[in-house]
Amino acid sequence: MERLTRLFLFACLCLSTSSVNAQQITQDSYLLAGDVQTPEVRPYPTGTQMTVQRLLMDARQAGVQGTATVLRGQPLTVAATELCPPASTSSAALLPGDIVIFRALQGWNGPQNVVRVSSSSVDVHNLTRPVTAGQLSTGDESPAFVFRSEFGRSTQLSVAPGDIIQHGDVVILGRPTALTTPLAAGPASAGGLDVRPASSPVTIEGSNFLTIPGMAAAPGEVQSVSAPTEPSSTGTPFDVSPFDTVPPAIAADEPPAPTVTAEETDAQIASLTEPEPAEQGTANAESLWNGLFVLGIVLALGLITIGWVKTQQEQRLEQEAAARMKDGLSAGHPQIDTQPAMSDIDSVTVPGIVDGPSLADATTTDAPASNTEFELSAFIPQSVEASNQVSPPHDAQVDEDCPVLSAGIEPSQPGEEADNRQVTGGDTKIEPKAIASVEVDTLENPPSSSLAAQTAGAQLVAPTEWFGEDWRKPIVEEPEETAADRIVEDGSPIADTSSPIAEELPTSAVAAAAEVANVAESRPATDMVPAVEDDIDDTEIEVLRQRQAAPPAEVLASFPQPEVPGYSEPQPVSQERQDVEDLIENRIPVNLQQASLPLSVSLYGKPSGPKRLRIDAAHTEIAPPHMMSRSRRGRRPAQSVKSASTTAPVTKPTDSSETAGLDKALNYIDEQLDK
Amino acid sequence: MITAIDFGCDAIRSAFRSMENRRQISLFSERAQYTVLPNTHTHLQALADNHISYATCEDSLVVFGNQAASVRWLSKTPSAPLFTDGSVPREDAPARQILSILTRALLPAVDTVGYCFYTGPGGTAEDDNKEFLSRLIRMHGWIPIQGSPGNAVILASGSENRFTGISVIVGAESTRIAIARFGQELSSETLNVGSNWIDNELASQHEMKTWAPSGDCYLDLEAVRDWKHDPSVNLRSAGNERERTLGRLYDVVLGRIARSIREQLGSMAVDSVLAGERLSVACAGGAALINGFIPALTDRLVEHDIAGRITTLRVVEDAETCVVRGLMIQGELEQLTATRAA
Repeated sequence: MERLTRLFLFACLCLSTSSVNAQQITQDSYLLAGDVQTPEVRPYPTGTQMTVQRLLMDARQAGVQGTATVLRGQPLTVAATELCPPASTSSAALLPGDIVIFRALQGWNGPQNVVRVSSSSVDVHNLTRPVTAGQLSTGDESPAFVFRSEFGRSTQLSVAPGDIIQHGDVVILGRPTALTTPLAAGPASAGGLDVRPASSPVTIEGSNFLTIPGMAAAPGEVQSVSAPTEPSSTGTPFDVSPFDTVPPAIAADEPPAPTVTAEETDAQIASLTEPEPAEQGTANAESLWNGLFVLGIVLALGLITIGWVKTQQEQRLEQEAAARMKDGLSAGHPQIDTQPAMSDIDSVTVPGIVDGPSLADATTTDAPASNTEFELSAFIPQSVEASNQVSPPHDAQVDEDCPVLSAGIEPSQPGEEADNRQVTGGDTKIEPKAIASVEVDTLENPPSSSLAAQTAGAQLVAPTEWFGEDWRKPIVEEPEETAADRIVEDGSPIADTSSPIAEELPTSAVAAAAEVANVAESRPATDMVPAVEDDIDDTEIEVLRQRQAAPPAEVLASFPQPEVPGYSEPQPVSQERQDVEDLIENRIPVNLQQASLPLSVSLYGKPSGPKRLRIDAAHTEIAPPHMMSRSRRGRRPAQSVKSASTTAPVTKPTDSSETAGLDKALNYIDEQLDK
Repeated sequence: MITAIDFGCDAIRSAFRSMENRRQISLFSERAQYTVLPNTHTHLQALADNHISYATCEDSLVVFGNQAASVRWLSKTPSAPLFTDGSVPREDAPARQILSILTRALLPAVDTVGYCFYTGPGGTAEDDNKEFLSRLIRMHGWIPIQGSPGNAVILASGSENRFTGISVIVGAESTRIAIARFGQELSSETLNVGSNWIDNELASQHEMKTWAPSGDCYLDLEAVRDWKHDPSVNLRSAGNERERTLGRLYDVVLGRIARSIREQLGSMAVDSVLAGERLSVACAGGAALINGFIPALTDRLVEHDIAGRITTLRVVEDAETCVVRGLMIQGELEQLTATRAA
């Protein structure tokens, strides 16, 4: 039932009119739309060549992988499709008046937009909700077809007024009359489609695309080959016929026109045999699709109503059956007469759940009860205090269907609420949705909401008096959450008075939390104020009123923040993170400095120095030349030769060749000396 | 505080945010080499007049860091590397002490707990280097945390690829190839070959030598490096025999790089998460700055039949300093995570 209610609300939202933000393109500008944060018309720079890459860089989309489709000229054609980032440095050049549609490959979660091209202007619309083609009509022009770019492939699709326009589409508007007149007039009509027999090639010169009068040609040339004159009985509006996908057309200033083969023209010729005028057919198509759309909405509303009524009846029957059973049991067991009667049961709300408005109220109130569960994450920190104070009795369980069950139940009396508003502890278990409901109701809608706690006797049936325990939902024993587990993403700690951490909290914090819970409880119904004022003095009432007047955030900010072990407030890491990012991107200036070395220092040891290429072994004694040793032995005493190597302590055995060479050298010296 | 230091075989670089302005990075870079000079009064006077820091050890003077190249002409002896063959020298005590002096000069003074993310020369001696360098950093008051140079390059240059891709760092003594996904290194390999091997081979084959006054002969590696980084030299358009030799030597190294990439792409660690995914290659290191490096590597990738797995191939913007910047990014990310957890 809850889903049906949401569906109904969604349908209502869809039916409601919405405004779109439009920007208009001029002759000296170009337009960027699609998967960009700010689709906008940009002035074409003078004196410089604008390219697709530069355009994307200006739009901060240069690093995003995707495809950019450039639509240009009259009729509007796909001038270029470029992969981003490009494989090479070259990029397609842009001309004034171009329409660039950028589509990211990784999907897009940003704002959505469409481009509407009419006979007088080209503008971009930011989509805030699904829009049909008919809603983009202006004056006597209605959407004729759209350019749809996906994964680098641009297709031209004919659209009906009921078709949903998708994000990134380029909607071409045109007059229906201009569509069929040239076709009905026969081949070679002015700017029309040249229809020829199937055996002959057909040219599509300037026929498939809309000319943009604001940028060039006459509005009478608005045509679409694929636009059906009447809705096909076999296809849906989203079906793409062979003619829907039009090959990239030729700009009007380009003389050659592509030809269409005979196979491609078969379907076209077949459709042209229909004698019905296209204008009437288009009108019929619009009315038919509008009728189907309205019929669908009515059908959905009917289903919602039937479902709601059925649920109400079933609930009523269940309650009556429960009441009869209870009466029968109480007759046989007088000791359980303390159970409230059925009328009393109706007046007791389910613990932890706000009295849900009726379905009719749910459609009109700003914050229906069924929507409160979506606010859970946002209000968890604030809701704890209230949940700790408004604790249901032992074993109280909150069902997800409770808002529905309590929809038709009378609200409890103020006196009962005052009596029931007791701070109870123990093994109370509240599901998160219940907490959220309490929180949202007390903090978001204080004037209209009423919060009631349930006493132990408010259960429909005692746990032991039914036939079995099967009808009860099993109580899931969830492990106790620690304070660290309850730290939500926004960094706000959740106080839990039942945890040991909460026991260590300062009493002021607990008292303040209790005070806020009382404030939240005492806010809703004005008739409850006297009951509260009976227990507190005027000063406290004034404090409570001030707290009521203050926004919830300020009230919560005034509490002393408990210190949770193992948790610290988020540090200002944004600056540090930015510094690291700058370091990664090499954006931080590097100051190359000279190290301050000591001017003079003493080192131990002897440096080995660089590697020597050749080390001559030190000769301790050199033998005289052989001939000298034979003839003039003893003439020259053997002398030691100091090697050039001073750092090679290890002597190596001399090579025979080296010795021979050295002997020759010495012999030569001796000979010179003798001379 | 976070700082990063990259102990490279060619240069030691450190980076940290400026104390005065966090929006500025202080970068220090010192050449990892020293020059030995004779310990004479003339040399001492020349060093003192030019305010050049030096060290005295036994019978010689040692000038280290960036000034080593400027005083080389005083001795006509080539500079000696602080990391011999890509490892901390075991038989060169002055070199180890110079490493300590440079580390102290490159790291800022720390008054509280500071973390220093560092990398050292890779290869076979990586473990020994890690032990020595981590102690060196700890000795100067910092808590050392070793980082991966491959991952650092991905962090420094892979933001547009979601920190996923292949990094190739052609260093002086070793080449590091790593594959990372979302900033986490999946696989890596270190090749014990780098630009020094190319320079040595080129100098040997073309007899590019220099002689010291003592008669010792050395390979003139400085001349090779100066010639190699001439803008007219291109790996793909060799004009003479030396350039052809250089191209062949680079092809050998790039071939091994391509083979390593192919093997890593086929490994279980990479194939299980990046199967069929095309990756970008980011090249870093001083050796990658030579003209024609990317086309040469492209040829090798095509040759090894893995070009289809590559989307882009590029040399990162700051090829020589991106490692230390990536280490700094890694440190700050760790610090950010720790701050959030706290």
